[in-house]
Amino acid sequence: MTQSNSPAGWQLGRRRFLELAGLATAATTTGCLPFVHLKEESPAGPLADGAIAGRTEKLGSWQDLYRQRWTWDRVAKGTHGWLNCRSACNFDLYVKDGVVVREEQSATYEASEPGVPDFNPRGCQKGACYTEVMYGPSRLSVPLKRVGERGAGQWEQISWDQALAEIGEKLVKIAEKDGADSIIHDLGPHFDNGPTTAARVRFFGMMGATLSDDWAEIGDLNHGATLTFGFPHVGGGSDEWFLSDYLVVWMMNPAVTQIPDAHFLFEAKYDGAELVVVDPQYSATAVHADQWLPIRPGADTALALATAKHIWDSGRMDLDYVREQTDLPVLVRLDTGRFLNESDLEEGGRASVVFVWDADDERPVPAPGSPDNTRQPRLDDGKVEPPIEGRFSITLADGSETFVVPVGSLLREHLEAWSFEAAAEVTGLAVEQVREFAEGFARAERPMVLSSWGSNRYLHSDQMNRAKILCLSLKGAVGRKGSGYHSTGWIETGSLGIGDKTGLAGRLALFSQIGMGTLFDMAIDRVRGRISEQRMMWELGDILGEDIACMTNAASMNLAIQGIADDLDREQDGLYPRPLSAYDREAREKDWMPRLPKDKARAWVTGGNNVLRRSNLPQRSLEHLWPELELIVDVNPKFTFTGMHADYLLPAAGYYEKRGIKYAVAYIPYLHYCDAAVDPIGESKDEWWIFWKLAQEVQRVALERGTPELDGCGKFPVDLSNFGDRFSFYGKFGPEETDKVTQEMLNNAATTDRMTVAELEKTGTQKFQSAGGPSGQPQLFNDEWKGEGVLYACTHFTEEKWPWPTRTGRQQFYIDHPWFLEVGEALPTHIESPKAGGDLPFQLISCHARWSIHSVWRDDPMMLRLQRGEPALYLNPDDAQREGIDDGDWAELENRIGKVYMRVKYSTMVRPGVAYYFHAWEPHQFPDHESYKFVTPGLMNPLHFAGGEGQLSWRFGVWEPGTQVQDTRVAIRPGRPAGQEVSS
Amino acid sequence: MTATETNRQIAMVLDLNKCIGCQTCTVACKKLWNKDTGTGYAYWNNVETLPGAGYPRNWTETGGRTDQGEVKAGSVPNLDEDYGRAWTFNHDEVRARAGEGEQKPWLRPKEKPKWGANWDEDRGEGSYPQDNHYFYLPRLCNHCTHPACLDACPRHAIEKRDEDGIVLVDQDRCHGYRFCVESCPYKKVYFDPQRQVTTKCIFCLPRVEEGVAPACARQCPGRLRFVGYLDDEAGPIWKLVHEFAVALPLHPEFDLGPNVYYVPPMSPPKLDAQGRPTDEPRIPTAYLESLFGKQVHGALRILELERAKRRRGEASELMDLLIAYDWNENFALGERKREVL
Amino acid sequence: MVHKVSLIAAPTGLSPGGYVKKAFADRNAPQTPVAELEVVKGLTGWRIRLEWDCSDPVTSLADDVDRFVDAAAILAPGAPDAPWMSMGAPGKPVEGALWRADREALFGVRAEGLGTVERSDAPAGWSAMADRQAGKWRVSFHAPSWSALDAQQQLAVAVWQGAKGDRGGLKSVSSGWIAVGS
Repeated sequence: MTQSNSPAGWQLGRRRFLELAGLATAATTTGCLPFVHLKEESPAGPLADGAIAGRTEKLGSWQDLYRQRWTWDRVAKGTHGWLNCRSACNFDLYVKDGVVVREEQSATYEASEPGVPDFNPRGCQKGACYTEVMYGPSRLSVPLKRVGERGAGQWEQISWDQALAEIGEKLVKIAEKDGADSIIHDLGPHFDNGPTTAARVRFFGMMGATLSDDWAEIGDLNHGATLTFGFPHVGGGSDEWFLSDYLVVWMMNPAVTQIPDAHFLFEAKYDGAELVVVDPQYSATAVHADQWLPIRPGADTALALATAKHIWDSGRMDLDYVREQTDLPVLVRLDTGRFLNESDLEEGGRASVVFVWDADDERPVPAPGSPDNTRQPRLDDGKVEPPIEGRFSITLADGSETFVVPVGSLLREHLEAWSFEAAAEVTGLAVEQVREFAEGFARAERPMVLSSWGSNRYLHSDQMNRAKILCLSLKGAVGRKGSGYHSTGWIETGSLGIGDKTGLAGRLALFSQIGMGTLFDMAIDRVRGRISEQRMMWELGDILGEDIACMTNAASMNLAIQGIADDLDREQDGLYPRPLSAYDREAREKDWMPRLPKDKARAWVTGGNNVLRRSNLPQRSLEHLWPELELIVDVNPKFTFTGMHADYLLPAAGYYEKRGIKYAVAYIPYLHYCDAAVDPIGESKDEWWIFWKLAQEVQRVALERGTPELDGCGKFPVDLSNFGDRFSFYGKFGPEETDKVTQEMLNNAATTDRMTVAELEKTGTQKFQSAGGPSGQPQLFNDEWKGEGVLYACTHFTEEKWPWPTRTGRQQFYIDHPWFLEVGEALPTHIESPKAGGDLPFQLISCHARWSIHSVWRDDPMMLRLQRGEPALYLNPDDAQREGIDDGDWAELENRIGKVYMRVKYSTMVRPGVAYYFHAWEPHQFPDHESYKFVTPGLMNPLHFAGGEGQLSWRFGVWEPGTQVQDTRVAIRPGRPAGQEVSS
Repeated sequence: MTATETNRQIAMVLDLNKCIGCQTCTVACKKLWNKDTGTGYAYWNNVETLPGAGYPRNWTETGGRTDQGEVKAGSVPNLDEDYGRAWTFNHDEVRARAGEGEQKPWLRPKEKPKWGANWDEDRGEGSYPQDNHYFYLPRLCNHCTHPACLDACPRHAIEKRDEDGIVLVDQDRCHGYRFCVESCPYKKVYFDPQRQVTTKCIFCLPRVEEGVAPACARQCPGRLRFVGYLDDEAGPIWKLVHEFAVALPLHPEFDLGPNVYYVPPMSPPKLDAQGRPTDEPRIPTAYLESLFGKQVHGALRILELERAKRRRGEASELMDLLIAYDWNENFALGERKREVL
Repeated sequence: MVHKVSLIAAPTGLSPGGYVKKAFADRNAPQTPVAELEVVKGLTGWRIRLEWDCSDPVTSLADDVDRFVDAAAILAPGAPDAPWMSMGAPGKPVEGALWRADREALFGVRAEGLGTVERSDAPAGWSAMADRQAGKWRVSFHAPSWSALDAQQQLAVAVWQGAKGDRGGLKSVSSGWIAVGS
């Protein structure tokens, strides 16, 4: 016997394993605070002493040590349901002795259609080790209350009863004193489409608290797509990539940020497609490209305009498509720059109706599909084949003469300047490379552009995306299978809402809040075929959103309460005719943008949004906003930087500890369900339970205090005296009944209403039944897709011929809003990236990370060990050496806002003059707890405050101002935080 | 019995044109096999950015075999300098002392990081934008036909299994001398200082025995791994290695008969001094030759020819295979005996 | 009785496998050229003291992977003609004890040829005391009973200096059996 040399660690396994598992369910408060439930080195598995399910017995061999590691008691189906990751991946969760020991992809997807690769096995390194985060050193597991100063790290453990009673009482008092809208809640980079988010949204929505929409504020909103299409989220399944013959990855890095889908690009290449990557960075996607265009940061519009010109000049434009689907034939008045509308031509005419030129009759006629063109509601109605170029004289209603031209003429003239040479000059690319790219695009049958959320982070990103779409639209590529624009579509799933009734009854009850006249007009329009069902439901949704939802856009809120207005006025001085604050003021006066809270923010209840991590200039928030807040609560499975500065930390159950529905991005047209593989660890609870209980506390306090009926952000009355009863739909759903809640949500959407929780517990995933219901925003505009075949988008317009939801009813390249006209941005226009932070040598560019989804894995030891353990600033080695900075050295990043420290990492993928960071490091991973965000002003494009016209109307996640970080400039020098060696 | 006499040989092909460096393979392997204290630093499967020093640092210079396949004294890499220690972190301290003083602690490794399993991630070589280049190389034990580790062990603690050619370190016989670590020119044997034995990739033998592909292969979202038996003419391995000859062993000059094969990487064209695309790939073919031998020229040519066929709309069995329409067919391991979906 | 024992490098050419004999072909000189051996048979059994110079002791792996610890072994033939240099032969074992600087308890060892060493717990009552002074290791073994040594009255020793890469067959050994009588 060789016991002395036996692998002691392994034999220790079972006992230690059980000990640690015991810790997981019985956190105690002895010694330091019970944040940590399993040690960092959690065991992979025990050397079991009993029979193990599913195990092949081969006793008597040391190899059994290995065999026994691959054993389990139970497998649950799961995914990373609460995570703001655009991928959704079906995982098997392996449970042994009450602990989820590891996870592995299920890989049960099927190919969408013959001749297209399947989706297996979706996942990434982060999803494959969520168990590390779940049992990791930053896990919260007991309710905590701050006992020292905010941010001092002094906490005491309290009971749930105490936590909920105190928070409930504070919320009621704040609502009474300062209005419910002074209570802010956010979705942020942590939400699902299941009971978790439903609970939070229902609780605060019913209360009249302000939902801060940070879609644009975090730089994710594709303003260019909204300006052009009327909506930002475009595109179908990622297997559609495989069908393109000219795949342009243009401001996206799928190999890093869309890991489960990236393979379709390289498989398309094997299938004969040309793969092109336009990126200043020689990215992990670019390394596999046929063409890599090392473009100067911020110069993408120039490349696109030269490409559009080439498509046009070389006769490869799809004229029929352009006439039917775009605004190129729509007439513009040369005297005003505005679209010619009916009121120009006749007294009492409708301003909404736009015109094209009838060449036969030599007169303007209402454009087919124009808003309010009730006789020709569809884009192919009528026989007009309108010119897209020309110059025509017309007589206005007042008898005066003026000239009108189709948008095409303006565009053609606008493109004249964009020769290959001019584009080369601006982009820093060789003329030959621009030509090769443009010619490939022009020649392609199915060109496709992938443009991710990260493509929206320059001040002038809207122009870049407008211009990229222009290239596609000239080719007739948008809304055609295997081509077009992919900015990430969404599939709608069900919700609970904030009403008193569930299901259809609930939805009908909501409609009762819309004026009868409006409903009647819409119904008539629909019956007469003047509008599509999708359009009708969408407009109803908008009306409902405006009438009953207390929402605001986070960027406006930043300006109002986070104390950054002065910074931005300074940074944007001279860029626009007026200061940013003037645009903001005008938008507010004209009611273009919602403005909540009406006065002050008094409470902030965050759900993992980690506002102090993700905000630009968080020091301003700490300085200006934090002192105003009487209550800060973080409901989160993890300890974050925001949590560090909160008053209460409520431990939410982790992804594998509660039922969830992953939000549904169109890349993978399957619903992903997460089962509760194990009970919540420690005292953590799922959010449905937390908010259910909190709702009872609110009701109790309101009854005790005799709280009067309150105003819900000016839109509806709020009665807190029956708040808990209403939250639970009068007892329909108990605090533990997330299975029933989940089923209700499935029942509430056309995409899922034949699915059952019982079935999903077995499969974890099911293909969606359709591409989206007729309401809500995340429409893919594919009415025909019913779960069969590759999912693609926008056929509602290109095949059904319904108009696009824009000012003109068409894909729109001309924006005639006065603000756009004033600054010369009516057409897609190249504008240089401004130098935010000062005229300094390095452009500081933020990238989504390979190693974390937002901050969730950022401090996880297993992930950090596969990086360098600390935040890294990526520099080109030549730049770094010139500055005297070695690989791994500390450096200081300084601009006129401040100075922070990071370690430098050399990489030849970096363009000289650029410094990259891969985002979502927690500020407490930096010296002085100051991250790059502390020197990033986050410019705001004032044009995005515009409203009142067509697609330029505020809608949640569709049109609103945001912040843009990529224009930030810094000086980078050798430098080190106090007490550190340069190369320590 | 000598190693070459094993009955069958299991093998893996990795298509580097699909590898995105996501390291899901690394994590899949780590989670399943190497979570013990003593193997915290060890990655049976790692992915390195090439050109680069790799993991362990400069492993190609650590000896074991010469370029002619002769035995050459090797070295055991150093934990901090060459592998990179599994750093521990100060989460507790940061939480508890977040508000203290001028020098409040921030979250970072307690030990000074000097190297790691992915230290030179995305670094590459060359001048931007003309010829900067890099690619990802996932590495695991090659389960060689003539394993250097087996040859090096004076205790006969290393065996090559007859049924599948998997090379294993007998955890009972091993006395931790580390001659295997020294002699493996791929540095794919690891010493566990807690248990004082060496460990290495077991090709997920418990999975393979039940018809399930190794975790690194089955969990690869890039779909770039193929697993099967080398003699299975209907399977993907034989086709890629023998029929199409596009899958090549790493460092064939060590003459150990690796059974892990790579489809070599293509790359976008170099630019000339004026920024114009040239006919040359960014990754110098001479560099690829130094990794995969002279056959790399032929393999790259075949890939281009077959791609060209597809561009012309013609059929190509090779392209179909590499596309992996039905990903489950990447694995030809016989009947699956365990319910893993 | 105190022996000044000259040690030789265990011949690597004999090492099983192809690597050690080639990679360490030039390792001819002992890393520990000499040791002092005292063997006493008393009422309480065998007491064997082994001393050697060691300027750079390694007493622990310290979680490092490229360290080797100091060690020493005492072995006796289990059969009259058990060969020493090859660690015995089939049917002709050698047996004894292995002290290692990183652990308290002794290993019992037994081998019937190179590469066949089996470690086990040392027989009950066997122990070793080690201390290091003035650049020397002194290891005092105590074996209450050791029938092989009783029978054969011969002993061989091996010393490993971890700092010099000694492990396994890389060791300094007595050139043959040392008679322990008179």
